[in-house]
Amino acid sequence: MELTIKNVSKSYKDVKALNNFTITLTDGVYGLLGPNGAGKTTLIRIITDNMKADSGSITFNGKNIKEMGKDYRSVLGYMPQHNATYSSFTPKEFLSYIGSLKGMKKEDIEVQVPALLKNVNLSEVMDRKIGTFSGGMKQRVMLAQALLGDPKIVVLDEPTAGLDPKERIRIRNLISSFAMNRIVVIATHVVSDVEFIAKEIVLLKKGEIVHHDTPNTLSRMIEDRVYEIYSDIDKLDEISKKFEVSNIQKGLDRLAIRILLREDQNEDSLKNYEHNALRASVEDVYLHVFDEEREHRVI
Amino acid sequence: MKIFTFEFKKSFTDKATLFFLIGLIIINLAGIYVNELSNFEYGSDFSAVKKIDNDLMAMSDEAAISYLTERISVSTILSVMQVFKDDTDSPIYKINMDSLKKRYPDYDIKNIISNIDPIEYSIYTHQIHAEIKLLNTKLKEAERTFEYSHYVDNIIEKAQQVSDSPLFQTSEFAKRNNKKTLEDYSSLNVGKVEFNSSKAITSSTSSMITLVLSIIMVMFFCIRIFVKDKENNTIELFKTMKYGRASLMVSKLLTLFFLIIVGGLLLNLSSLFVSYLIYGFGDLSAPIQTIVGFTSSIYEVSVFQYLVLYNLFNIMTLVLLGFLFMLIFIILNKSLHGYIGILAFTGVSIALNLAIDPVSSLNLLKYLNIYNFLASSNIINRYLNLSMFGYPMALKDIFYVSTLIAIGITFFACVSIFSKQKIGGHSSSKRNRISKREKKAKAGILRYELYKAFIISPTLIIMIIVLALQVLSTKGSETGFANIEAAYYEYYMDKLKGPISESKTKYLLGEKERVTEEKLVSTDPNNTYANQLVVLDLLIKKDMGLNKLYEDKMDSKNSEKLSFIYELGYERFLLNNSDVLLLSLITALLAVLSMTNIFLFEYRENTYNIINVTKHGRQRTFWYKIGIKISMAFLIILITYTPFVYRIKENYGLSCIDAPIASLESFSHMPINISIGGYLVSVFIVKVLGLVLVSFVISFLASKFKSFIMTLVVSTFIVIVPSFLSFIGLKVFESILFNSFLIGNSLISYLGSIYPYALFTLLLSLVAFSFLYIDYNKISFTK
Repeated sequence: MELTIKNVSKSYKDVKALNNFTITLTDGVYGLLGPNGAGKTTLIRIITDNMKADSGSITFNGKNIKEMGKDYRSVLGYMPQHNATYSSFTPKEFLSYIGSLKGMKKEDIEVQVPALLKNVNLSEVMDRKIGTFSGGMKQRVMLAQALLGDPKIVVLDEPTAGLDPKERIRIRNLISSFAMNRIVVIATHVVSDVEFIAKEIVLLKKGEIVHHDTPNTLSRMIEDRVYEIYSDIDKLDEISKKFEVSNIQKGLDRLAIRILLREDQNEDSLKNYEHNALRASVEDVYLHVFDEEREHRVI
Repeated sequence: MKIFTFEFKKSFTDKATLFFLIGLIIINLAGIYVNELSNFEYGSDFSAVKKIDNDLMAMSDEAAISYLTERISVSTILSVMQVFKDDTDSPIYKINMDSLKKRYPDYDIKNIISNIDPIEYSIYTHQIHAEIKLLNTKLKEAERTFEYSHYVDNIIEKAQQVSDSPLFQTSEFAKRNNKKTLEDYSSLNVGKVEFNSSKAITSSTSSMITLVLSIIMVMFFCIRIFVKDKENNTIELFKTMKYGRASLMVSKLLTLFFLIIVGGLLLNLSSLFVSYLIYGFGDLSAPIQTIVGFTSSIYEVSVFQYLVLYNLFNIMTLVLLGFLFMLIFIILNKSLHGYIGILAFTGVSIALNLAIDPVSSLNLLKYLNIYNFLASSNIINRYLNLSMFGYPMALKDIFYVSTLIAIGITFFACVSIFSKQKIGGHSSSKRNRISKREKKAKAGILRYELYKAFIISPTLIIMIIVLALQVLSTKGSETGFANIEAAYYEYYMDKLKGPISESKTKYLLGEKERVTEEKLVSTDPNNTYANQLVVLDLLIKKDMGLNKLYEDKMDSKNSEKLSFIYELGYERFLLNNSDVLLLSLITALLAVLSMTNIFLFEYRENTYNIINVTKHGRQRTFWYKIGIKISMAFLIILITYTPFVYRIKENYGLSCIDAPIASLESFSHMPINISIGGYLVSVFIVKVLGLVLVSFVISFLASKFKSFIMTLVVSTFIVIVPSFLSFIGLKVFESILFNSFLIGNSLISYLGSIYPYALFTLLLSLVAFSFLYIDYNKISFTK
């Protein structure tokens, strides 16, 4: 299974939202990371055939998705960023409706809807109106509808937004289990959503791919650049000015400050501080790549 | 202050508001212009009124009356004799000549006929009959102003007489009212009341078009200022802020106040402008009593001052209306409910004003009524005292007091209720019981589309309510004979109904002979025989007409079906009368209320983007929605017309339905092969088509605005307003936009002038449909 996006560009007046975007996606989870305005939503809208690109093409298993038309949409599952449910429907009604729209058979709907609602932990409330749900519950309904109908391509835009930590892990695991024999694209700001489940991470900035690789490879890019400094709170200001701080944790009597060394720095820069080397995470890579002062590509 | 400045700037620089206001003004200008010209009774030269007014204003009233009387006499002579002037030997010439000599003994009739050309003599209208009509109208106006002082003296005299006679003092109010009338007119001190050009003033300050447009304008302002924020959920956000409640609402109300002043003034000025263009102004410094319709006014103001006062009263009323609308939108959480609330409020006001008798004990509701106040010229032009706890109070005084108090109350209510209102929560315990039995998940796109269209949007409830109201309105309505002639007409029709025949012709002639003989020997004190003869003459004429039609038409099979038909019933829904226009208005209203949500639902609930990417979320869903709309069109026609048709059938009967429609006098021009039944079916099909076209345009608007309330308002403007204007008597609107289809009658009976409008509407709707189709299905024409 292969989804090929080739030289796709899209502009809004003077702003280039996507610039010759090219990538080939196969089975597995892909994390699409980037700051606001990077072009993630634009890309998603083009992949889901909700928006027309200015140039380029998207093919699925060699066929142009525009020519495929509803055959392409029959293999697509999409969860948009913002809540998009009918408040007067129950989750069961809503998923049944979506299932019908997806061209599922009645018997399949009757089987899959309760099962999916169980998977997203909404069995108890499947006959309650969505309008009464909390934000997190609505989010789960949205995820369920995206997974309905055994789609081959699943596009999720901020799937864990509004969920508590326990829910986040649950959803992450659900997506991971679902990703077998499917192409799953997750657009998110929350790096931990994709760090452990993604096959590849795509870093997107100003409509272009900044980098695209496995999480491990990306982490190795900034190997030996991630440290933890142990210090009093008085020195926090000084440390923040000197280094790129990615996390601060309060210990019993002092702070543990996770930092990234800049390009002109090395371990010697830390000689005045008690420190430890850490393994780089994808989040560190994200911060490193999308540092506002950096304009050049990291290869 | 900052919040008010922000709200003010936001509203006054809002492009939608500006364009809407400009659009309203253009429609007002065009509407008044077209309406005045289409109702112009004096030939084709529209400057006739201006010319004659200018001439008459240069004369004293006495001279004007003399001038007009002379011209009427000569024009009448010319009009009567122009056909026969070359046939001096004919008996009819002699009869007319004698008659005119008796009527106008001082005129040399022969000389007039020989030397004066009727068209040249008709210096204002260039048509002799139109000229006479115009001259007569102006004569009445001149006589009115000439006799003004006598008119006032008469009122004072009568009031004095009533005051002196205890017989007429039926109540304390009557006593006090009489006394007040005497005082008011006795102290009235106006300048010289002479002939003045009135039409521009009356047409600009009593235009129904302007009135309706001003209501729409106020509703639109309320929506832009408040309802849109509610729809976008920004109100919820603002209410969490320090100045987000009372201060915010005060700012919005003040902004609304200023918007209404500007919008109202512009609308009124545009009415004045177009009326001036057609009729011209007279003497603006003359007393208001010089204007037709203002004779009984006790305002001591000039015409110009009246215009200022009118605008002041009108703006005050519009401000009150605006605050009332805001209050309704605040109280009713959902936009749809607010819209229905406003329609209901406006409808009730209109109904109370029109239905209550002026002398009824409920007449306060008739006059203390926003619809009555909106027709602001009525506050100034007539003398009317209402009973306030037995004391007479002038309508104008009641107007000031009640409007100002009402403005204050509604202002305070808006601020108070808005500040204290909580966000509408969803009650989980009452409304949402978890089902104990697990039901199967039900599939089917159509099922859910129908559910959304009829249940979630309260269309089904609305339709049931309308059906109930329609059924109730037909109960107890029986035909009473308007007069003896109508009774005889029905009697004879009952005997004659069915295909024409020689025996029926003989019967009619026999009846006429018999009745004539009986009349000769009777005094006929109640004119019974005379009435019967009138009816028989009518029927004989009808019989002759039908027989001639029979002879003229080549198609003998259908000609044999030409029949005597009691046409009252058929004419009730085949001619453009108030019933038909009201039903057309109801269908327009139902269409807007029930069809707005169908394509809008997905945008409102934000589900468009997920539905659109599913397999059947485009074409199939689109056609299901269209199918539902077409079904709704049929349902609306059924609900609206079935009780009405049933009532007609019960009261008048629907006989000879297979007879040619040409049997009915009003339809004698129709082809003979179209039966009455066929014609009825065609009319209903056209009405259904009209609703389908309406649905296309509403759907298109929904897809563009993506806002429920905006779609509702613009649809109201395009669909309901023209229908309402035609219902209240502005005939020119009967062919505008969708009315040519929704009314249907004129379109089917081949009135050539209506075809361009109908074609335009059809094309507009099809273009809207095309854009909707392309947009909804994301069709791209480039690779």
